[in-house]
Amino acid sequence: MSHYVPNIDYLIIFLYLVMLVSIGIYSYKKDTSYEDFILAGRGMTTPMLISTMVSTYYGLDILFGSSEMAFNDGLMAFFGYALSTLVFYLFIAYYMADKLRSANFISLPEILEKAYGRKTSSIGAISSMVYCLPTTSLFALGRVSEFVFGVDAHYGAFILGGIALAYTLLGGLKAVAITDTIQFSLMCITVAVGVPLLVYEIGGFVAIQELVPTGHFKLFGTVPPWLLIAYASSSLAVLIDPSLYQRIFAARSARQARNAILTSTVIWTTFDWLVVAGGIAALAAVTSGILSSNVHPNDAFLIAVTYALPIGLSGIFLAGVIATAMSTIDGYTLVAGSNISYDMYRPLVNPEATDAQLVKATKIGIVIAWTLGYIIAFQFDRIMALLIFVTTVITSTVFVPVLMALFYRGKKTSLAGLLSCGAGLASVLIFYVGMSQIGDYNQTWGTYIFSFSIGGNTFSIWQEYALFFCLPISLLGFFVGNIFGSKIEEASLEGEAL
Amino acid sequence: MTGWDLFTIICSIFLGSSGVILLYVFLRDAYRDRMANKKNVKQ
Repeated sequence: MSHYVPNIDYLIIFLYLVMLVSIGIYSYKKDTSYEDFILAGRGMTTPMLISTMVSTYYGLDILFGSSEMAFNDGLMAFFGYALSTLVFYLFIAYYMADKLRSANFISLPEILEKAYGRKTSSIGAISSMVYCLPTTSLFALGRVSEFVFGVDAHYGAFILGGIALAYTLLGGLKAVAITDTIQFSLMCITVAVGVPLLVYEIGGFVAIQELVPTGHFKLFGTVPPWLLIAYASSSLAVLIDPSLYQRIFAARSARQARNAILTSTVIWTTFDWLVVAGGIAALAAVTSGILSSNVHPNDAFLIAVTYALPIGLSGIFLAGVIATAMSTIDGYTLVAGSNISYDMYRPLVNPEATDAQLVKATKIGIVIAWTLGYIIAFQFDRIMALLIFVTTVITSTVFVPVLMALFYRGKKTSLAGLLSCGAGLASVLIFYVGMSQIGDYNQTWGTYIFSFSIGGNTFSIWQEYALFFCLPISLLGFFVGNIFGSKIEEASLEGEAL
Repeated sequence: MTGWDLFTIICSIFLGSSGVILLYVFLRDAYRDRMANKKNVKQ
């Protein structure tokens, strides 16, 4: 047990976990249709939609990733990383939500299937599934378990992640949305109380500015510019986030989806700022001796806010932190499960699958996705490295074909979709394997860097730069495929199908 | 007090009240749905 956590807080966390399983049992319906299970019958209320959008995207990976970045680099975490994501959300709200919701899709790969055919959608389904595997959340949940319960990260992730798996299997999106709403509210309230208390405890930003390096208060920090662009580019994944798409498909109307995204964007902005402020304040707390000097940057925010909150509220905060991870695990595992059932099993194995067969296949898919996520989660040392890898995979594979399907009115061929997806995915794998072979591992940045000289000038390529090479390759694949492929029937997302 | 302190306080107020409002509306809708379902079952 952690010496930072009082006993009464454990009782609060326990009661909270019991509540989650109860909701799963309450939401369980024996004879549910596939659309009921995966999209809650396309009838989610606005509060549920906002909560499930915000909490699913805002997992522990972001919570820890942003606070870790703020701890190490300061304001850059907000102005260089978080804000770029929010700009893309506005784009989705105004330019994509209507197209996506009015076409009545069920999943992201279905867009590829209607535009380019089943081969392309299968590759898209694989990359969507990889992106949605609950790797980062299980990794982060393990770290929280170590801090809160003092148990090994592997066991903690297994038990707490197992609870999220249980209620997702029982209740589908409805259970996920109900638990997300409660989890999100808890997290908002406790972060809103905890961070100002922490800042006040240290002596406000005047004291914080004196305690942290001056570079921490430069808007874009001291991070290499290309790495900054690489972090910002990883936000492109938002435009093709399968889980966000699922929420848009589940909305009652396109207007409701747009309003929910806009509201969520404002909430994300405030949440992002408080996490970044908390990360910087945590560094000040370490420098001033309030917290131990051997605190890991990943855990600094968690420890600092727990320290600042009064007993009882700190229990709710920790329950909220666990909730944050669980809400991401449940949301993404559900989408990964549907990728396996609806986008792989249905088109490739059983095109005539009934609703009952699809629900059963989805539940099996959820278990497979969770297990794969658990295995991969502990292969990486840093959350940001893992996060950048999965976002690079999905962005390089489906970004170009999906955006072209939605916005490009010119000629589109099946080969264009196939080459764009296939070349993008292959190039990511080659880049990552290649960099681990020819690059040198940098302990400070926790990544592989390949340096070379031309004409006396030294250049460095980081593993995080993968998107700079792979996205243009995917775009090239699209245009080459368009030149050599035969034109498919003209279709438009404005109507019912592509 | 600096601008960063003020921004932090504004964000806290907004985020905290968003959490409370969403929870309230969600519980209200859930209660109304439950009442409506009960009424339908009786009819």
